[in-house]
Amino acid sequence: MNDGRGTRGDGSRGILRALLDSSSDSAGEWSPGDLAAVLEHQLRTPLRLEADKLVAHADCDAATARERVASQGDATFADVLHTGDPVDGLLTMVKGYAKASISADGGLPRDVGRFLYIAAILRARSAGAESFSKLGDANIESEARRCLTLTWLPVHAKDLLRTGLTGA
Amino acid sequence: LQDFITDKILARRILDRADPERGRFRNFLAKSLSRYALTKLGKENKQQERSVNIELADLEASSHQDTDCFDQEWIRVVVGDALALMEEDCRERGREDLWTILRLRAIDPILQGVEPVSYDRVVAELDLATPREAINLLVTAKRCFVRNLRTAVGRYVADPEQVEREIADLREIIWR
Repeated sequence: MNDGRGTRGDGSRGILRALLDSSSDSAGEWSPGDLAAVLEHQLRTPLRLEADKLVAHADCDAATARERVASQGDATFADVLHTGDPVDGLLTMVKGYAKASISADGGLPRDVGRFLYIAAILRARSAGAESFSKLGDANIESEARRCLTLTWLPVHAKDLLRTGLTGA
Repeated sequence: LQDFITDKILARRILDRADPERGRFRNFLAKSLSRYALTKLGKENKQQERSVNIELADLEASSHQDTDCFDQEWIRVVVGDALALMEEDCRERGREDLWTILRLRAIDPILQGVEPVSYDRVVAELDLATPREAINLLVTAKRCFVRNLRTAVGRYVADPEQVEREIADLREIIWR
């Protein structure tokens, strides 16, 4: 049945190594440049395109959450992380979405999820929502500083974290 | 090899002695071939009245090399089959996106030694709206490959239960 595709022995071995037991965490599959591109793409993604996933993490009923997302029009993840108001529940949805993405099979690369998660918490904290996260201030700041060490993190994303840290 | 097939496989029916409970058929064949080659070499040397000193270590090394060679060929065949099956499967299901992302991100870089196509290009080429869509597509493509690998292996074994054993063997071989 082999069609002589021309898979050399070492190439075939490499393919099996890459594909047979690949981890659900896709971080290792993307270069630092790709991870930056994934994050940029995520930040410019309109919330409405991820409505189903966001609504699953709302702190209100699904219909209300869906309305809240729809009311944002073309607002993006970046918009919520920069100017989100903890009162409207969108930051809670983004935080839950990010947390699920970190662990879920086929989710975002782990560090992209971590950035979204901590950026949502920092934004809520800056906006005065003290009980937005169960993480204590020390843990929040430690995690934010860890994200700042990611070499691929775009400058504007680092600025967002720094603003969140100093604005607390 | 031709003599081995004539003398052993056809004339003495050694394949009848292969016992699936005692190990893989490839190992059985490799060891039989190795022993046959050494015996034949010994006889030829004896006829020429030269002393032959074949140490056990040489025999084992030779046997391992033959086994590796059979394993390598086995991997080449099933991976080639799995890729062909996956490409066809994706085309029939209208899921060329799965084949494309696997080719751009994993297959071409390994087989052709090129850089994986960047995330941005993958997204543009496949018109993917969100990162989750892109990441999930790659994960789904990998699962699709593994499913087709099982199908490919299944074509070479008599018992469907052997497929999982062969997959486990492949795992062992590739990390050896």
